[in-house]
Amino acid sequence: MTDEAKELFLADRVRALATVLLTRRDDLSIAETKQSTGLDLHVYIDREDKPMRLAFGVLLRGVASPMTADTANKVLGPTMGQFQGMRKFTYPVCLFFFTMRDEKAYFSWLAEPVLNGGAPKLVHQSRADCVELTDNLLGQVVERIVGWYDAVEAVLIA
Amino acid sequence: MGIADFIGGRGQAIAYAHLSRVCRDDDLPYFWPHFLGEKCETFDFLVELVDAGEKTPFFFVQVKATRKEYTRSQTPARLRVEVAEKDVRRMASFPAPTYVVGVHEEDERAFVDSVHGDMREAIPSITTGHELTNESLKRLWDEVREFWQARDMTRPTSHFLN
Repeated sequence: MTDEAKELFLADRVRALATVLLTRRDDLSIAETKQSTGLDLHVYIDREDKPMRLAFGVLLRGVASPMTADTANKVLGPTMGQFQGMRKFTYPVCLFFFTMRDEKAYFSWLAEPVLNGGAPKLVHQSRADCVELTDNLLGQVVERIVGWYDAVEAVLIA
Repeated sequence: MGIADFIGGRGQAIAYAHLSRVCRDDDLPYFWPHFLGEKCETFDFLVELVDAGEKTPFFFVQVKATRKEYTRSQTPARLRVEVAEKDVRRMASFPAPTYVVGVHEEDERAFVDSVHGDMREAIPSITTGHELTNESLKRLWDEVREFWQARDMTRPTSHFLN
């Protein structure tokens, strides 16, 4: 396999792995993503009781060899640099990082949803802070995003 | 393009993840599947063998996914997915190796079943006897490679020369 083919293969595989992970939840649907956004996926959270469309973006990366979260943080330096070069996002964005050999997944916020005294903000991170991406963690991420959009709704919707 | 253009649904993604597992000593997969999209009626993936020689052997896969329970009365248990008669006929008559990959969506397990020879009847369920594991991936790789090695598909010339 050429190096170029390896990169293309890796991109395909991380996309499949992310799809498997996200589609474990019935409340998430993966939507069309334009290349111009710089992201790999957009995900909608299905909450019929909410007036707003709840979406977050996902950047996907992967490597063949196993690595710890600390090593992943270092390896993701260039990706974080790339992210900083993009325009600021107005919705939460995160990174899924997969290591192929041991089939592990890591999560790091890129545009992290926070509440500052109840006011919704997005903190655009300059460094990766990887934690293991489990179903449990994904659940916490989804709930955090939903909570953030509740705060956005309070500010935005008349 | 939507995610479905790249990978299809959950079942196809699970099948892709299993087929493309990086489990060789050289940190490579045995297979590189390529999603064919909704427009291809019979097959979901064209699957290339990785590092299998000068010419790239390949095979075709139809994915069938289910959330139903496995059968209980047979050993090994069977996955409750069906392959229609017309699909079996089309697959068996294809001049390349063709397989069904059955996926249990909840368990995220995948099982492979060959469609070949003079098979003509619909398949009402598939065996879980050939689960996609590191060992069976290697065995599948060998089988497809041997199929193509036994056939010299080199075209010496063509009408449509430059």
